Amino acid sequence: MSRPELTGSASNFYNDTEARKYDTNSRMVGIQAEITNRAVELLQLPSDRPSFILDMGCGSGLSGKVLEESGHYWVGCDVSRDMLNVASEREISTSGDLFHHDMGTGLPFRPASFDGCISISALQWLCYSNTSSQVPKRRLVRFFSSLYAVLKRGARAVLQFYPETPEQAVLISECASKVGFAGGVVVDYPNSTKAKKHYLVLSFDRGYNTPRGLDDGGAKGGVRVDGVGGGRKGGKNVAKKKKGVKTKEWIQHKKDVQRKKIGDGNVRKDTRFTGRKRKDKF
Amino acid sequence: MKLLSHNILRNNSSGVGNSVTGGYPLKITANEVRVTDNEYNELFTKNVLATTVDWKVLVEAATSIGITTLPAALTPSLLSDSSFLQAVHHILVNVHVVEGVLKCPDSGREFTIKDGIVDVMLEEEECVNVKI
Repeated sequence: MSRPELTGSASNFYNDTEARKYDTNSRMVGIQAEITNRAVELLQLPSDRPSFILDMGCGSGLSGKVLEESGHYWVGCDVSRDMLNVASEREISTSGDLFHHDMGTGLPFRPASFDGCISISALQWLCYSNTSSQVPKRRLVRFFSSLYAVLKRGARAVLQFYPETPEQAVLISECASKVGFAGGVVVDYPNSTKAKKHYLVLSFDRGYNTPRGLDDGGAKGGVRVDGVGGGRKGGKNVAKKKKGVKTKEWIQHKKDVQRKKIGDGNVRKDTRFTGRKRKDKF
Repeated sequence: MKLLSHNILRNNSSGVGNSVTGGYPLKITANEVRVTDNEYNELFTKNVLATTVDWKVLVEAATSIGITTLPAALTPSLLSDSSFLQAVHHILVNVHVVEGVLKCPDSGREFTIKDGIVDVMLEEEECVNVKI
């Protein structure tokens, strides 16, 4: 499936029909709730009182519903008026409030207003420009610098997004570190195509260590990419020279297995010629 | 739009003087106000009054939509009065401006409120320029 980000602005893509589809699709609802719960977990909010949360790209309020269930008060912004209409129709906005707003233009709030910020599947829209005057990097920096201002000191922001390419993830975290945020990208289920999720976790604390990503019990743990805060790292990615499949270790291993299976005498002894590369004759 | 949201809302376009604190507070002209019922939460009210809310702005905003019962200044004794906090919580969270206009005190730019949703969309030319 092609990416909706390539088809134009989010306010055009999420029109009335698409917004309704989005809101009633049970799979979508489930995924959004799951991501929101994870994002709230990553926010590490104080547990003794309800918090005041900013929800960037709240859409039809699916994430707001989750926030509401956990007792928080929230303010949602979205660029799609149709999505917001669905949200307000459902009357879910009892503890939340809705703003029609484009996150690329900076946040219209007073400094130090929110206890935390979440954003579910919205940030990647900033990486595309729909008019000649929109510069993705400028919009990203504008968003992050205003986010830096409106959060209370000590607050965190967890922004889940779908990068189209690794470069996009780097661009996003670079812009976040440029305005002074510490943190990094947490990748949940890195080995799965569908369940893989990127969370940009931002904090004011310089020594903040991003938590580990989740994994479904595979051999490799979740990946933690400490991109933000460390400044720009090394130049180009030099691709590692690919090793051949039938290496010396591989042959040795195969021979060991055979020795166990059919006896030591039936497998050729290891010599200095074992697994040695032949001369390039041609 | 709740009065709590109004209390933190500012005009962030480049037309205002200070790019961090300018464009605040927005003046409310309300055509329709609706009251909902939300469960009262004392801890949240206390916390939000202590850390977020600008009391003077709240009093002004409440007056502009016809609520004149708020005292001009907060005193410590009021902050520990449960029934007072409950009333403040009600004004902050349950009073919604459904239709109306918000006007920036610095640039005069207007933001419309329709169906309870505030339109704060800016054109690219209006945005604060940032260094990249």
